[in-house]
Amino acid sequence: MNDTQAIPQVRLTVRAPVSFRRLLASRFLRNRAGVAGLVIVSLFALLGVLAPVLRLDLPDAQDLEHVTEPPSREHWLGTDNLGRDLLSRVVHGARISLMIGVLATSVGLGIGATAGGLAGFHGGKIDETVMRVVEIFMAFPGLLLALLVVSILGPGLYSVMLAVGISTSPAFARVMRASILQVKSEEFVEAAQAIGAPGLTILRRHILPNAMGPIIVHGSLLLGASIVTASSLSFLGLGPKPPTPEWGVMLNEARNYLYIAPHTTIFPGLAILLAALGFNMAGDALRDALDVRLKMD
Amino acid sequence: MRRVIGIVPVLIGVTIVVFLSVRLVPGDPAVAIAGIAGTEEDLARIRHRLGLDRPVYLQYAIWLANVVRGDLGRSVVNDYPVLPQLVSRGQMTLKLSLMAMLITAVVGVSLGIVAAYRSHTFWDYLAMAFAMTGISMPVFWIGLLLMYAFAVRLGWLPVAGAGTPAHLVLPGLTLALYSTALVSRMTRASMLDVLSKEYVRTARAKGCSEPRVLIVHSFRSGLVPVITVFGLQFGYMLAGAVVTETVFAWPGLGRLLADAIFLRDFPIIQGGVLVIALSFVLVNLATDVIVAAADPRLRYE
Amino acid sequence: MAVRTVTIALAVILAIAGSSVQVGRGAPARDTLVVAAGVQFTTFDPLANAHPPAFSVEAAVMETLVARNVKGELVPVLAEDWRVSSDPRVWTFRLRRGVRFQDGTPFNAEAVKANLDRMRDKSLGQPKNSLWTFIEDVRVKSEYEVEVITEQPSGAILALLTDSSANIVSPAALKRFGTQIATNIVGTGPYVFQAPWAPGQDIVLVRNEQYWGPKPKVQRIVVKEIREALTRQALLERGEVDAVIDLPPEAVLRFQRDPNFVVRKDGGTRVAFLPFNHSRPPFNDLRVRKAIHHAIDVKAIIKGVLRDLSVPADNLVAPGVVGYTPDPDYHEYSPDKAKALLAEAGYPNGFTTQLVTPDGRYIKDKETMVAIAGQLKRVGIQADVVPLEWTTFLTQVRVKPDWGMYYWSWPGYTADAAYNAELLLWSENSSPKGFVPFYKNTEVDRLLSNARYITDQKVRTAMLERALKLARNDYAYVYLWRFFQITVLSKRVGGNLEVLADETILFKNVELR
Repeated sequence: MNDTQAIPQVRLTVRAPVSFRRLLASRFLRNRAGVAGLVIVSLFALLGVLAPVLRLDLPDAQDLEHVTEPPSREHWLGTDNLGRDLLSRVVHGARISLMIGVLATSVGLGIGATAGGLAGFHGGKIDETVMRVVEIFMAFPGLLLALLVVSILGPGLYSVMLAVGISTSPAFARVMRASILQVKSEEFVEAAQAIGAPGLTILRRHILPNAMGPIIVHGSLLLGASIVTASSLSFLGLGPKPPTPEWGVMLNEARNYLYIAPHTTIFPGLAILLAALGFNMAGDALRDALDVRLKMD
Repeated sequence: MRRVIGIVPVLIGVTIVVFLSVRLVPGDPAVAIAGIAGTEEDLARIRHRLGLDRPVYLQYAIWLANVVRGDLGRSVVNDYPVLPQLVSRGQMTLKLSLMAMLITAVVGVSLGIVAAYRSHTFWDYLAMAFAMTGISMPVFWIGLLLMYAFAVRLGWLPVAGAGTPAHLVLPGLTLALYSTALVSRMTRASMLDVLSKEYVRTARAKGCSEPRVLIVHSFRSGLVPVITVFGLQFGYMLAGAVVTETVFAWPGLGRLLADAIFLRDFPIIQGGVLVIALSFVLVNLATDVIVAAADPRLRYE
Repeated sequence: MAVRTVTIALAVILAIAGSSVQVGRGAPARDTLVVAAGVQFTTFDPLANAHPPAFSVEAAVMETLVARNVKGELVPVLAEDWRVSSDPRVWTFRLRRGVRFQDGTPFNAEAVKANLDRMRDKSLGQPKNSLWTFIEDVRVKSEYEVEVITEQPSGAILALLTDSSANIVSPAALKRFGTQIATNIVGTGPYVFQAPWAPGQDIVLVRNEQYWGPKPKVQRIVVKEIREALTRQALLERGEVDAVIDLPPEAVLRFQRDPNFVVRKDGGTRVAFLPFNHSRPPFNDLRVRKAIHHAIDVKAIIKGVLRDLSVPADNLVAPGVVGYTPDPDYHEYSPDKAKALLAEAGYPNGFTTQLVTPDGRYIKDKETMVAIAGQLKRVGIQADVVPLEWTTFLTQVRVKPDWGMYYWSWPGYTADAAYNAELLLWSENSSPKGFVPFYKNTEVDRLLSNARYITDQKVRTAMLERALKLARNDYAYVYLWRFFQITVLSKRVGGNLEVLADETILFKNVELR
């Protein structure tokens, strides 16, 4: 009895095995830039969702008597070239630009990841053919490919999304293929194959979850890039139809006012910059978080 | 060697895709030429003159046969031969791209190295903030702002056009910004990775001077992914310069192609895309060769 | 070592940048006029489809038999005089003597015949050939006399001969270059076109020292293709160009306030209008068209969007064009009247339609259409603005406009309404043959087809005026505004810059200070 009291009590803290997700989250949250990025993105997403609900002037309400007026009490960000309230347009634009980003990236991901996945998983002849096709599309000048697609489909929101998506899919294909190839050679896959598990199961339960990492990172980085690409398309004359308050379109239409009413360009430009920045920072932090995890294996 | 031969089917694939997609774009080239003048018969006659009334596969076969002989056809709007146009405009784009690559290489890599060496300090954050911004801004916006600041307001550089070396600076910077940002990030990541590797620590422990550590041991493998990105960016620049060329009135290939698409000038579009695809593929090949030379472990099998 | 490489490279870049400060780059040479234009130059073949900036280059290098002066009057140029015989199908032109083409070829009746034959040669398949097929034969009467025989008496021949397609090209050059004449024009004009020229390059014009008329003061003209409006503006501000021939209204505003620049507002023959598809409801109802007319506040758009660089239009053509008559009461903005008319026509709650517009072709085309859509919404008409890229627009307008409403603008070609009216009002030229959107008024048809063959200009003018008046009452189109042609010049540019009705700019009387 006295003996036990004399022995110093050492507390052993036994941690339960931490789930992958929680590990990822904790590493992500430690990255200040990543958190900032996430905050920005959430803010924009929130704006996008709430835009119709917020009591802002209709973004389409024209007032030809008050064009390109600087910020004032009635119009916090001023008015654009048709007298429309810039604040409401920028806010509504959040929804559209995010939509473009998400849908374009989904298209790219869908096409690219499927192709890359097929190539990586099956290997052999399928791999060669698919990668040939990917090479063809990669050799195609990116912006010109988008131009052609939009020219064929006609202007509009959906053509822009499709065009940007198609032009990003080769990159996704490559990333997916490389990722799958890497995972395929890991030991636990070999182990699963040794047990005799069917191919599809291996794919679903072992390969895909582990291969998705780089894809997700790439996707988040591409989200920011899609928003920027879409605005370049507007510059070349192929963007969504008016009066869509898409940031790229707004930046474009206002660029001739750079010297006399710069606010009409600054606010949409800033919006694009911040949104892309947010996605990029978050995506970066995500990649860092994943990388560290891989390293620890 | 196998790789070199492998280029051909890719190029053929590209030309087929272009050929078809360009004919899918709504809008009649004959109308583009005729404008508001011209009757229906005139349009038919123009179409016949351009060979557009023949079946598509025949048009392709004829075109391909001519290309092999070195004849890329003539522009439909002014009968000017395609090849000389591609050459002269291509040279301009090449000049611009080289300038941009120079800036990317010098500024991007240095920035990345500095950031890696001073990682997690103020300089690192500054450099990466700059990089982040660089990949988040639309190119035309950058170009117009640079033009406003340095040409209009400060008057240090010419506004637009080509002619003197000074004319290269603003468009070069504009085109280079994205790549520079990208390369600096990659360099930093890659160098960080390498610098923490064991053989570097060994070298340091052995007492090698810092520059030696940097160049002899880290550079080679550190720069491999950077070189790959480099090559990709160069390829992108050759064709992605459309926006920069428009803003700075730089008579390059990108602008020629974009215009040709709007005018439905098929021979120029077909020839131009072929040239760009060819250069892109060649650049990739060169990149792979350089990478293999730099790090024998990464030879493409 | 790496640090050294970096330093060297940076030094190189700085040297390149720095070199610009020493070289006086930017300011054009003393005797060169540099002009920036925002359109794409592809061809200078008179018979090709070209647009006004190209006409300006053609007009500097080549000349026609007769031309219009700034007031719109016919003046002799390469033809000293002309007469029509008692058989109104035969025109005789007496040509100017002592004129040579810039390549040395003498200008004479043979040269004119070679050109007129080329103009009417349909087998060439050039867009403007069909303008000239009304000529049956061309005969050389003597070295300086040419006879032109038309199939039918032609009322418009003199007006047509002022068109850019009637520019006389050196026959030797035609023979030498064939189809590539487009980039190698040679004429009799005050400036020589520096060949070789490829699209995208600067166009260089050098004074013709052997010119038959008064020699121009400016020795050299360079026309630069600068597509980005902001860039043109910047170039002008920095003095790297002397003149810009098209700028968006907001840029013009800035130069208007600056005493270092002169803003020229000329012409105003480019009329913008809204065509309707007359074959389908609701646009086949006059009341609906009238309602749309009353629903649009043209003055507000001109002020707010076009920044007063246009004026309201009240006819298919502009004042100064043969066939024009004014209508001071044309524009009446009244949403109430519009709603009443719509209700009367059976659309008390309005309707939905598309408003198709070319994209980026005309000044503020998209913006003005969005503004109009906003105004239409107030009377219940939901108009979706559909911008189409130019070639697509043109193809569809011709082939099958199943749109209800669209936007278009035409300048005063040949300063004679017959040109525009025949292509826009004559039901003969309905889609898919031409552009008439299924509008049909038999009286208008009759007037237009007869006017072609009346050589008495007074009678002909009266017929054209009446035809246009009828079309206006029919609301075949709703007329919106007329664009001024804006040229912004730096203080360096003096002398007399002339702008013609078809937007051609004449540089020959310009001086540099």
